[in-house]
Amino acid sequence: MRYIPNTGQIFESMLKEVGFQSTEELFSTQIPKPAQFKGELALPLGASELELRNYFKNLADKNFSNPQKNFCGAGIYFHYVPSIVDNLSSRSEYLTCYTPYQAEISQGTLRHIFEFQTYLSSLTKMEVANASLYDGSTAFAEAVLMAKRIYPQRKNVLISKALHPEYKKVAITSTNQFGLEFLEINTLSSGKTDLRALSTALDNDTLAVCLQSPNFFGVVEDLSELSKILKPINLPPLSVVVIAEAMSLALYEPPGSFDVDIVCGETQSFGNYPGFGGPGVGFFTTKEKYVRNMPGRVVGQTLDGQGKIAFCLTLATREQHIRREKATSNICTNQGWCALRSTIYLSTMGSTGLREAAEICYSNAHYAAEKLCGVRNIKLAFAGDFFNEFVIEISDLNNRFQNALNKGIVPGIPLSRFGANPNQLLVTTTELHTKQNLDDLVESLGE
Amino acid sequence: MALIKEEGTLFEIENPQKQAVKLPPISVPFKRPTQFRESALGLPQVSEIDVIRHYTRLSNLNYNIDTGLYPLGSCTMKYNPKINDEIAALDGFKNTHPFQPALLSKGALEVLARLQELLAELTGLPYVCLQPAAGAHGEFTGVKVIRAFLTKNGNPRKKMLIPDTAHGTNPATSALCQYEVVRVPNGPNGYLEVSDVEKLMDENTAGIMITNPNTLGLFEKNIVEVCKVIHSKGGLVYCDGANFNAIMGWSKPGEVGVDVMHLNLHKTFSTPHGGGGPGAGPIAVNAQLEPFLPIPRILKKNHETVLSYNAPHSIGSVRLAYGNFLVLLRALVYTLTMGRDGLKQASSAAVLNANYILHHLKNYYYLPFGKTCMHECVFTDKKQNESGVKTIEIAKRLMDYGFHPPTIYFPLVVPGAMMIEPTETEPKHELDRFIEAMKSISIEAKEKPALVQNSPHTVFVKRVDEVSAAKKPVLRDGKKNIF
Repeated sequence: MRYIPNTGQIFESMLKEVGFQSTEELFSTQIPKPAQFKGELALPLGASELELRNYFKNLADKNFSNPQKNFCGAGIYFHYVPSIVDNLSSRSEYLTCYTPYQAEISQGTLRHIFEFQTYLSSLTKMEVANASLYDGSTAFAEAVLMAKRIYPQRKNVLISKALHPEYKKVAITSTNQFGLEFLEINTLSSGKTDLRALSTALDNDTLAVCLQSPNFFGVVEDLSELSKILKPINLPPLSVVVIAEAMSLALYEPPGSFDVDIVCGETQSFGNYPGFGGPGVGFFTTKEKYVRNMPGRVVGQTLDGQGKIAFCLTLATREQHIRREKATSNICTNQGWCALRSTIYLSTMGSTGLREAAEICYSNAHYAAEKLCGVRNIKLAFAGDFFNEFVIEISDLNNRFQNALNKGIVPGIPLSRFGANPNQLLVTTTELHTKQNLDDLVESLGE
Repeated sequence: MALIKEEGTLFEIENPQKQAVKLPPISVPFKRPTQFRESALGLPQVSEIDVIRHYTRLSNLNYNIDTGLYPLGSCTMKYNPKINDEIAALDGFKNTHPFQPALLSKGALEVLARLQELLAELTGLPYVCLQPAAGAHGEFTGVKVIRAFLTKNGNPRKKMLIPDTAHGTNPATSALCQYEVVRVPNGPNGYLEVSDVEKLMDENTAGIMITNPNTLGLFEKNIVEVCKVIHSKGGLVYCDGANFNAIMGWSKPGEVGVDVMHLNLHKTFSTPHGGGGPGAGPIAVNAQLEPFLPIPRILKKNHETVLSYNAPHSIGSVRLAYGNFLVLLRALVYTLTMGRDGLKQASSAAVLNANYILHHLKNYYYLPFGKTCMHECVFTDKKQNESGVKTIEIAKRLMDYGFHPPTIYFPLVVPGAMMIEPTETEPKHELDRFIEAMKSISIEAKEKPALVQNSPHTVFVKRVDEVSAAKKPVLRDGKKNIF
């Protein structure tokens, strides 16, 4: 076995040195008879690299994987990944190390996580960011849990109907043992959340109000209005804003400008591939005053024995390996390597590059929407401003969707998948799409 | 190799004229929202070579498996095969969207279904859910499943038994799932005793979370009886499978009495740790718990792999889509590379390597429990304390000898613990070098304690002040003040 260097005679001699005649004898000092498995595993024998290359190439070829002809989004996006992101992140020094427990020999990891925190603080305009969480959906669940820690007596969560349905599902699954009540706030014809209804639904029992912007339908929410609603309230519920498409942060005033308490979501768009939905990068940012309530790993700046700037994991007294059942969360890792890819991506793009990419996304989406609305029986479902995805209504969606697939184009995600109106299609465009790609999309949905 | 040992920040070298990326010109009419972001993005403006140099130099400050033994106990820092990464980088996998029609994702679904089958066979628990993104996430999912099962049977119950030798995530997970944690002390030999479990188990206790092999590196020898006690009071047994690398092909938890367990694919199944993620923590359960698994389920129907959302008793979802797919894919590549012969041999070699270290160091360091171990051995600094040398200092001194230290001060029940897990991928000559280093340090501790106490000496970064970091946290680069 090529990954096991001590085989044959080396193995036998080590075994004897330790005092055993056979592997069975060694294992039976530990595993009692009734717990031993005596049979043979019903697995194939080990395969060669050549066989596996063929096997997996064959499986890979069964998947549709052409980003330029794919207009799916809904929290997972096809964006440009600069060549150096793959190159640098594939270095063994980043890929094959573990959580930086030993700071002296892990400064590379600690530095790039610190940069990730810095970039996410800047982009969201929030005071503190953590080292990342599993993904956007679990980051949102952690936000609700954090609000629950701050207001342990309260029970209600107001949640926009335009918040990603899978995020919502994950949050409910993760918190229903506390008996929380999720009250859904409807959307208006603009596609924005009905903030007046939200304001009416608020009471002393509300622990968090949760919006996504741009929301699940692609529409940009009015965050300044949200802050106006919460401002006069004594001990207001925590405001949580989900950013599922991080690229939008480059174009819109960030939630931190509107006094939001928690901004969390997904930065897969920054330097990570869709990968059939994972791994992604959850991010979590909040106000400094809540830092000790924040979930997940955090890297802090300090000094080493020579007085030079150095970095280490910090605020560990919130964490499970020290606090056990009193920890703020059971999380013991972040998404280190995917967060590294986001960090390298952001360093490469810079403020200018990121803004440009976001502008192409916006322009492409508005061009596609306008052209699509020129096709018979297609109209925009909502009137509000959108960033790079939008919902269209098509009376015979099933037929036209199938036609587009036959032409080799995945024109978007039918929202029936998420239990919404069966005539609605969520269409997403990014900087990967050329004008030709967009024209082909429009053509493919024609009658 | 970087000869420059000090690397500044990108903000120090930024210049608005610099650009590391060139995007194509916009091919449609340019548009921008009427209200667009006015505040700065706060990202550095540098050129491509600046980015390359910066991250290459930073990488040189990291220890990693490809340069040497990484004996972190309970973390299973084994070699990460390169073919896994090559397969995960295929366009047909990385550029597949989770919400595109299932008919256009047949290959990806086949990967998931195949992995489920193989993990079911290895664990002896036939139903697998791949959605959890990490070990602790798997625990959370598993305990939620337990809670849902008990709730459906009339009472979710209030307490959860947690042995002192369990991972720290186990009590944290139980608390998160609204269970009051009841500690079970380990017996005098480090094992869970049936009588202790009998005393604490009652009809208001949901069950037990057992790490097996436990964090002392011992296989719980009373596991079968413990499971019976828990089941006799209507409870369920959760097994933390973080140490599964010790028992592949040697013991099947499902046959021993475990009802639900998680596996850490980034440990046992060789996917890269990546500096702390991404991982994958699938769970496997027996038939009575299957209805409660998260959705979507990935099922085989008439040789076709299908997604199923039809599960009225499901706990819901614990993550978007289907889990960390590219990690799951790597684990499948590994499992097929190893096969039934290779996986069992991996556990054999992992256990032998740990025992080899135990055997050669037991006269130099205090061994609190056991004469043999599974995949990891736990020593303490008791002997070295006589000259005032502590575990943390032995750990830092190991760096001077060119090794990453073991897991230290864990498990908490062993004062000054050093938990050493070499894994099966370490050649004998590397183990010998490590053993020699540990022996030398034990001699230094006696003869020149200050040398050990002030270590590391040869590492570029000196002892990092973690206390000040926590007192006044600096969590972002102050040079770029965007507030």
